[in-house]
Amino acid sequence: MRTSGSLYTICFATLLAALCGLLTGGAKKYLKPHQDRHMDAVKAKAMLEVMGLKIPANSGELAETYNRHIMVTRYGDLDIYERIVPETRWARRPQVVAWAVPFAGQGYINRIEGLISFDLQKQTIKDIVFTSISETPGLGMKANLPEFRARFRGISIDAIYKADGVKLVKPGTARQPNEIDAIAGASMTSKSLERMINEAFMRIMNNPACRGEGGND
Amino acid sequence: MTEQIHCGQCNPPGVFAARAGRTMLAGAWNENPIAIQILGICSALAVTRSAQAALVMGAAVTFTAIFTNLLVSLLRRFMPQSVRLIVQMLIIATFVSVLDELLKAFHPEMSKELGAYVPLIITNCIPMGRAEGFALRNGPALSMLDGAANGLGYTGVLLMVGSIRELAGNGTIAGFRILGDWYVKSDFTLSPSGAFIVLGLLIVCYNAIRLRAARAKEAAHD
Repeated sequence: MRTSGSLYTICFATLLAALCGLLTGGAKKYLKPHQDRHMDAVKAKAMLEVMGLKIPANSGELAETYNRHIMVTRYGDLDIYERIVPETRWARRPQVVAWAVPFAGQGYINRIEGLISFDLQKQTIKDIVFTSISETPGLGMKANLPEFRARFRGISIDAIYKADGVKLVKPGTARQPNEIDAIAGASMTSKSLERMINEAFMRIMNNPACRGEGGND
Repeated sequence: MTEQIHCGQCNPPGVFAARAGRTMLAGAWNENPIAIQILGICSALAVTRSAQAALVMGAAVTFTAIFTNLLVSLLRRFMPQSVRLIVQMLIIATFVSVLDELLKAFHPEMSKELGAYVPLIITNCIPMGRAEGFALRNGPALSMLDGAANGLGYTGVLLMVGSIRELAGNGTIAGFRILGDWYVKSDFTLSPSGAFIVLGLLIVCYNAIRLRAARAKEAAHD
């Protein structure tokens, strides 16, 4: 067979490209529901973690725990995830004990996404969880370590509000109530995180409905 | 006594098996893509922070090499020579894309851990090298074997590097604790420079074993 002609080459390339396109397109379409299901599970797990709830091992229990304890409420133009303590014999009405909002932004290398939660009874930051982070291994990726995340816990909302946000300072120099030791050797990731977390915090604080001034929808 | 007559187009019995054995041995050991040909080093260094990641990466390259070799071999008589490299690249890219989607769907944590290195298999020299060097000249069955052998050779080295780095770095292999709590974790082997040193030492050991085996074989012949 003569396979060197231009017309033959064009036909061959077209057919092969169509076949490859069909294969990749088919795989993408067929696998999308599996991928979406996984993404939902990742988000649900992150939400349970940031709200301080135990993450169940199987997907059925995960959905049940999520539906039982997490509720989304719209405050003005802001969706807030609420952790509710279901009604009991002693507490007739479900109680909202924590709020969580997502934060996102460009890190040093890639986009960072996560959730920050607030303890409504203690009026402090409850936790932060990253749902997507891919920074420099050994440096910016230390943000995902439990030790770093623990630095945020217990910081007073009032102190943050008065100081116009949290401040990630040089490791070992945090003195003020709104200051947190930054990640050593990752000043760019730390700065990005500071900006994202403060934006998320201020979205709540600058929303009249969240402060109880406008009521919720 | 009857003598079997062969047409010349097909291989007599035993010849295919012998060639298959030689192909397997060459890909997995004698011409190991990492230890001998020093191919695919970039991913070998980057994804070997844990044995599990190394194994999945190895499986991904093996899958790509097998199916790329199969398709290139099937199309070899119809493939225009002037565009053969781009055709091979397209075939590799297709299988890598399918693989990437499969990983995202069924092993998403690993897909996240491997990051860009799965799509980067497209630029890995192993599938392209085997397609150009072997599949274009051989039948589908042998070509698939060659892809599998090279993939296994790559996986074996990756697994060793990953296991050593993880063991020295965290005291675990594939997440299972091997060294007790007394072991002080070391970030060095998990760092890029540590990866270079572990891989270098492994290649030294590999070549020392091969050399010794070759000398022993020569001595036996003498």
